[in-house]
Amino acid sequence: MQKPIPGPGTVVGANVRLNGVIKDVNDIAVHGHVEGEVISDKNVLIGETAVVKGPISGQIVTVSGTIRGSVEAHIKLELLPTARLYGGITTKELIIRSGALFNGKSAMTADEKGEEEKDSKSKETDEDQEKTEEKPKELEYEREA
Amino acid sequence: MYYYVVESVSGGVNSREIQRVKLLLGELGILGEFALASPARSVEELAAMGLEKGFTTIVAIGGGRTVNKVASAIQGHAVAFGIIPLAKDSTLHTLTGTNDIKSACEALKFRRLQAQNLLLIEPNKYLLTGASVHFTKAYSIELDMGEFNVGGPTTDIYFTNGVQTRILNRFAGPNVIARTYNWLTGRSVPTFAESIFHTPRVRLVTPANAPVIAENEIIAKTPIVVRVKHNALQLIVAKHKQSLP
Repeated sequence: MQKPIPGPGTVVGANVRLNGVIKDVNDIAVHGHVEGEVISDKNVLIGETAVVKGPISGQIVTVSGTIRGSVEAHIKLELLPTARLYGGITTKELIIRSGALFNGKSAMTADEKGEEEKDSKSKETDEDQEKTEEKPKELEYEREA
Repeated sequence: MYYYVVESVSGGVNSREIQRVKLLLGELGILGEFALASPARSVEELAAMGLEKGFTTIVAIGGGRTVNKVASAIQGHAVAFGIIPLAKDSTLHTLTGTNDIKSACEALKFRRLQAQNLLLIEPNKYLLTGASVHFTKAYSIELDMGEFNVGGPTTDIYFTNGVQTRILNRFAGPNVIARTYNWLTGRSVPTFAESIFHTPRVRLVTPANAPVIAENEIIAKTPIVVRVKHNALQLIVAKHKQSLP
């Protein structure tokens, strides 16, 4: 994407209808109707009067309006009390406030590298335990011989 | 070598303001050739004459209209462009990082250059100060911004050379019944009546031909295509002014 331009990012005002793909390296705030994609390198705010039909992607996504589509929040997704989300979500951290409506599948992206290291360490520990359990049997055999 | 294009002022080149400018430029050692616009010679013609004569620095003295006209005439040429705004609190001062005539003259002496974008209203209207379209009531307009289209009731549209388009509906908000309900229930929902977009190209279509205004002057009529011409000229700015990203 282009170099960030200082100042407010993209703002879709109330009573505005937008069709297509909005992309911005800065924040995007939606208060109107959007049919299409909303993609930000930073944060996305879906306001109370907003209706979005289409996928949304950002670092921190805060929702208080209506979304019919998937949401991908790389850091955090927060559904405020007036949020209505119909679609799948992918996020690292999810906050759903009382009153929000969420109807869809959720995929929480954990720290995959850390999980792999944990799994490999637990496997090593199991293997070590098996080896120490085997050794006493061999020694007994030798003594008998 | 400095070439100064002066807009028509009351009193001509002998007006108090111009005399003060000449005095300051003389003290700084950058007093060059002065060319005053008149019915016989327009600002654009004078700027073109400066280019023909081989001046390396062309300066517009006056308001936004003069600045836009000179910028339009010299854009794309390898000359430095200076501005001495005659009005106080001018947006031109903000553009150059100066705050009065004296600091504007000093900036010319220091000669710090900064690449400057220009707004282009096709086919050939270049603007430094931006343009706008206004309606007395909310009309449904259509903006084609390449990857997306925008529509909705709008009263004001602003274009700037910072690749920014702003649209506003002054009458947006809940109707009387909704406002009464909100007041009775103590509910308040802020109305976001302004939209801001950053796109390098915009096509504006309105229900009827609407005037496009720059510096209180009608320069075109809709439908229009607005683009940004990047690094169209080298603007002389104050030495302390922050560089553009």
